Amino acid sequence: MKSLVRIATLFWLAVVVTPPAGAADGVLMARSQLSFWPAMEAARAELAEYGYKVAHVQRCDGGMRGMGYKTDFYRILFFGKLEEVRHLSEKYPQMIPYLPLKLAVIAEGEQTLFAILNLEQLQALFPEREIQLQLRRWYSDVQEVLETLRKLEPVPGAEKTSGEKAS
Amino acid sequence: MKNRRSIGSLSSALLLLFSGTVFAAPDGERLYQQHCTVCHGERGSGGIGLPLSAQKLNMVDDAYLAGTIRHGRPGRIMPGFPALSDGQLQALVGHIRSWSGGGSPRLPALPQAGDPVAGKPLWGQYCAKCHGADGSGASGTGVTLSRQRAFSVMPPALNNPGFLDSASDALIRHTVENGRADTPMQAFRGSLSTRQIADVIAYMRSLRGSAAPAADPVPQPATLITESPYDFDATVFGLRTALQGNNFRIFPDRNLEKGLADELDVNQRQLTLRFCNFAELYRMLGLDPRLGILLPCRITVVEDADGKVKVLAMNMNAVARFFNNDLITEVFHKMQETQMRVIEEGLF
Repeated sequence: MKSLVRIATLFWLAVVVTPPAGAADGVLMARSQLSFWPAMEAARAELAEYGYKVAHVQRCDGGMRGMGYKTDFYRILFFGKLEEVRHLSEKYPQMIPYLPLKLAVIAEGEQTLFAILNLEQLQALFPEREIQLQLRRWYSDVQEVLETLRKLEPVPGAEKTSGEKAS
Repeated sequence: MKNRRSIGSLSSALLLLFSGTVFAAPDGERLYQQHCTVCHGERGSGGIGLPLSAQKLNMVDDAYLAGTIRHGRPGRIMPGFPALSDGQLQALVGHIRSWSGGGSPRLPALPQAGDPVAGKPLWGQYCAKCHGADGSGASGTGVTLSRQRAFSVMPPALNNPGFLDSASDALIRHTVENGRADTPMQAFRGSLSTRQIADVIAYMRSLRGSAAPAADPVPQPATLITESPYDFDATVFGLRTALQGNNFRIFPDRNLEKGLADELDVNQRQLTLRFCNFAELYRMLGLDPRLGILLPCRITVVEDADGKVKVLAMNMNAVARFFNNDLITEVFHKMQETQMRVIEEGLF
């Protein structure tokens, strides 16, 4: 009986639980119906829901525009939890170049794309069990954040059309 | 007997549970949203992925669409989806077709096999200018970013095994004869005979590239770690000078914990130097707009409790694997070399 239940569980995992979008790729992505600025704010708020703080927003388009290139809005949100960043950076300095985590926010017309390195696949570069567990936890959180961002609908009249937000 | 009844009940329950999901016809719209929308847009407007316009869809048959989804384009951004069943592929193609207003076109078969030797000079004369002498196409992808480019849609890599396995000779012939609306691909009907088109196709197939990027011969560490012979401040100074010497624009330094911890509580002995070469950045974003997830380039200097100073940088060769793009892999190898040069110069 136990083995039957086990088989059923495995079957359920294999067939019914489909992987989230982009999970097979090295980059996790989500497309939001929100335009750039509301999408930035939504990302910040959603990350906060999971206990993450946006440490910094890096502009990518500004510097490029300064060089004469014409690009859409493009920002990187650096986010993390202090205790995790502090612990990992002290115990596993090899994690430092990957901290804090980075979420790219890219305007595509009236919609916005989010992209982040696939934290689950990043485990292949870190054999340490504690790091792997941490990466899996982050992966799970990020997938849920992206799923929420994917489902958000624009609120009429709430669109911010221009201007930089303080980071 | 009791066990057998339990097994029977459980089986019935499982059957009921799964019948709605496993045995229902695949939902093409849901599959599209799950796998495709993020790059190709909700109705194929394009983005990081190519536009799936009605004009394009009317030019290609279902077998090409299904093959493209299944095989992807190895070494380019478009991933393959080998796990999708035939039914799922059919549903997906059906959904994509639903907004083009047309069905799969009937494509006349090539009457004869071509000769690659005869096709080579024709390729050089008519195709190489846009698709490259080796068929590798132009670099870049999709239509995202309002950057100026040579083409509105980049000429595809026709030597890509994903393309060659998806496109029948009939489809390629149809494209060569009729061109592609809304792209620079012109119609060659009248310029090339059926025989010549067959020769060009035979030559194109001979250009087939490798199916998978070469695997790393040895496992790569995630991070490059170098011990500095200098103290913390001297190490930072040396690296900053080396970055300037290598023509990088340097952003203000940041402590690793800045923005996460109170200002007075930040570990001052973890300092990240951030730098960028905008011309290179722009070129890279043209190859894959998602590269921002690794930006900006960073080198971090840390001093541990024993007073040892280390310099840490992301191993670009190790993270190249995340992008399914041979061109990115090449760029990352060069970035890695530059990064190593900066560290070597900074610690000299």
